[in-house]
Amino acid sequence: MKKHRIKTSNLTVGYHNNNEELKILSAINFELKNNGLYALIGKNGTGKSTLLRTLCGLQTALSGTIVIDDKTATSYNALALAKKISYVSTERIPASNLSVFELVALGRQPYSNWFGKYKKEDISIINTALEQTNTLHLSNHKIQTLSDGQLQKVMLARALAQDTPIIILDEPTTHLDMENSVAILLLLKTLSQHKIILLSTHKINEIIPLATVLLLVKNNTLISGKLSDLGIQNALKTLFLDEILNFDTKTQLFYVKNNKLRPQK
Amino acid sequence: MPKQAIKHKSYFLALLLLVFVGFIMNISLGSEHITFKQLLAVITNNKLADQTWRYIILNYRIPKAITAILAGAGLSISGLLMQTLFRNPLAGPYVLGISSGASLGVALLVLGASFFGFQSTVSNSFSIIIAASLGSFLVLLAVVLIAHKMQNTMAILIVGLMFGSLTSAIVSILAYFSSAEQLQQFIFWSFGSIGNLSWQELGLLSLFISISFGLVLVNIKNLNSLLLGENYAQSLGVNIKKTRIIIILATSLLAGSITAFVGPIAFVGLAVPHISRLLFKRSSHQIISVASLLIGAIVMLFADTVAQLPTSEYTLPINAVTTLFGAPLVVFLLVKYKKISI
Repeated sequence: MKKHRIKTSNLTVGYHNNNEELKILSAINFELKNNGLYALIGKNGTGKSTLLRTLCGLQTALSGTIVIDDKTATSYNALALAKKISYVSTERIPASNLSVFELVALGRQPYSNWFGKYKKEDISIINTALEQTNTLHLSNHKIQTLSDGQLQKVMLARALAQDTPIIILDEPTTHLDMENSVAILLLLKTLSQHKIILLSTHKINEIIPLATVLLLVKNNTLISGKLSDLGIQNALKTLFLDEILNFDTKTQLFYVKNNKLRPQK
Repeated sequence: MPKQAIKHKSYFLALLLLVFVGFIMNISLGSEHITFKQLLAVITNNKLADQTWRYIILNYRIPKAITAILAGAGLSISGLLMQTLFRNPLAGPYVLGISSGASLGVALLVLGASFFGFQSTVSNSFSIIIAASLGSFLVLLAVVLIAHKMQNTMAILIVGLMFGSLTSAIVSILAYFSSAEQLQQFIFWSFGSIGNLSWQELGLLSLFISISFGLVLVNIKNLNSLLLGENYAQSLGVNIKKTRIIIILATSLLAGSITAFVGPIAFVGLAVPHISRLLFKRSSHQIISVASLLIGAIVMLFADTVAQLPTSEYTLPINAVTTLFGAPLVVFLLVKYKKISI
């Protein structure tokens, strides 16, 4: 089986603002070369989504390079990239009459002919994606009628239908209830045996035991490593304000300091 | 979903039938009523056919009915393209300022003649067509150039609106300095008229429309991806910049050529895609574009039949008729289905 990878060298992401560069994250160096679940964590507004969008080619990097498999990301055209990376963002999609099935089927666009006709094989891939995300029963529903949580699962199904070696997900469990959230994370864990899955999330306690490697956004850069790494342990300890959240190295969980959220005796 | 497929097929057949009925009705009803028998005699080249009828049918009524079909279908498709590109249900063929460009061209020709001090005899409809084409082409050129520079699609929408305002301001100034006679001629053009096209002009119009439909056809997949927004479309393999330019080009060709030949036709391009979506309850362009094409043709055929005020000598402005009947219909559909989408 062919090995895939996504690698950044000295990457800087951010925006252009009136010819001025607004750097959000700099000196980003990591390589995801083995299949697995990679969790991108960090505080609000630190540039996680910007980084993910840049990796997907939806935004140009300010400097540095991204290599996907054996070529730089910029040397791929949109279609070739769509066969390597699928992506789910937190962005709302416009209201339309698309059914859930049609929406998930759009994931097969990179493989269908010029008219967008789906083969038998495509249909079965679409149905598998619907089954995996537990949304098969919604097939004929219009996407306009779905709840935020249902839509999130359906958008994930669309990414699965795209059947790419790399999947990038921006907060894929935000709108999900506890049960669905765990179910989706377990599904992603299973799928990550055969894919590189990079996701950002704020549900840190849930993702820590599942993630193969953690990527932490801190001080405008990124550090990555296994949970057992000393550097990662230290970074986790100082990720949030000490006054509010503490990381417990024994249980590997974050706790609210002094149980402040519990009623005081 | 075979049940749904059967439903769609029967809808399409019914729409095709309505196009045919509308076509026959449009030809036979007018200031003089032509019976189906006489019509058949002319079409089948029967020697018994009355020569006057023959002349009217072949050189006036059939070209007019074909113009109605082309204009209705073309405007509806261009409206659909704009609604999908801007993911805005209020977009129509004229949001890019195409019709404003055309009307500026015509205004410069008709109203500007005295303003710029040249004597013109603009009774010639062909010079109006050329002026309108040049006007819409210049606006098209400006929009494509700007679209190429812009990252943001919504900004193009605003640029189009600004072009529209700018040109109507110039038209107002020209109008202010014009004679009543010139003003009347300009206003008559802005009423829209589908009855003055020769077979040659019709051929030219069909050429432009065929090219645009070809562009739509090869981009049908990309249009569907665009329903999810530009970021998702790109992550599904759509080259956004290229697709955007092609969609703008197709829309401009459609709206520009139709406006040049028949004047600005309101309402059809905006409303027909909505009627199609409400009828089929789908958004896939493979279905909605064909539906819009057929429904657009039907709407124009019927609107023109009404505008002719059968058996009377008067003809209403087609632009007013399409809106008069169409606007309440869309309001009714919206109230009934309570939603609007792309």
